[in-house]
Amino acid sequence: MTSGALWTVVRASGTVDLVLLTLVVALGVAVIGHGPVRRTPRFVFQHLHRDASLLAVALLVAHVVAAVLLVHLDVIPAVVPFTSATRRVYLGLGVLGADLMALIAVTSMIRRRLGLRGWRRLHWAAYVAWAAGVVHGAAPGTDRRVPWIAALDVACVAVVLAAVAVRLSRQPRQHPVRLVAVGAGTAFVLAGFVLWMHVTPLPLLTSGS
Amino acid sequence: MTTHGHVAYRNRSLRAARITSALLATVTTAGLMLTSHLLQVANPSQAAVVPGTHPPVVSAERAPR
Repeated sequence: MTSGALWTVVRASGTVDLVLLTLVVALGVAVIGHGPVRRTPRFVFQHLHRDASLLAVALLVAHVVAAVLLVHLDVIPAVVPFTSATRRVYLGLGVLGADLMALIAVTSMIRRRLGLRGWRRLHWAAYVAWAAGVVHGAAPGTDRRVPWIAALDVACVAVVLAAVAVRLSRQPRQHPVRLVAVGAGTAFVLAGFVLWMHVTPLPLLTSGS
Repeated sequence: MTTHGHVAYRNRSLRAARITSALLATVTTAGLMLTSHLLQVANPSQAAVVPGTHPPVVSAERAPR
């Protein structure tokens, strides 16, 4: 496989994986709790959450393998976060997200041995993995200057924030101040993400300048 | 709901979940192919650069205004 084709695999698998991870997190937020969700049994959402997670992990493996083959990364920078010589922070965030996803996948397979409480605590790492993946995908030097990719990044953040906000706002004995705080927090994080994408641009090199 | 009705409802829901999972896998594959195509035809001045390399130098005429 040529380096151009490998680079396309890295970019496409990363982009689609971010969308899948967003779906996984949104479904994960939806399946917390007991009883049916909008007349649909909760296990249907759990089934979809698990299958989407497996697809996301498969794409992640393709993304990492293609990136390792392309950049000729050593084993340590590909596994240990923030040890890469190039793009230490943003590549490190991607590695951190991948490590956490692997941890979540393994602990979900041995959930009965871990116990529900231990597994649930570890599962909180999914939010960190998703956030690390978003920043890794929208970092300077990625495809975020392509308009539809930038829109996709913002949409992914908006979907997860909306899912969390809806979840928080549906808790029993809700205080109006808390509802306002949830709404304001959601808007603040989304605006912060869009601002971050604007203030960390990749300089365009033109031969005429 | 009777026990029989409950089992039938459960089976229908499970089948719907399986069909949706299969659809998700198909949509993901199609999305992967479409994304690959769209990224290949994207403006090189906007596209991602391989880590460790510099962004492509584009002529002033091709640079987005």
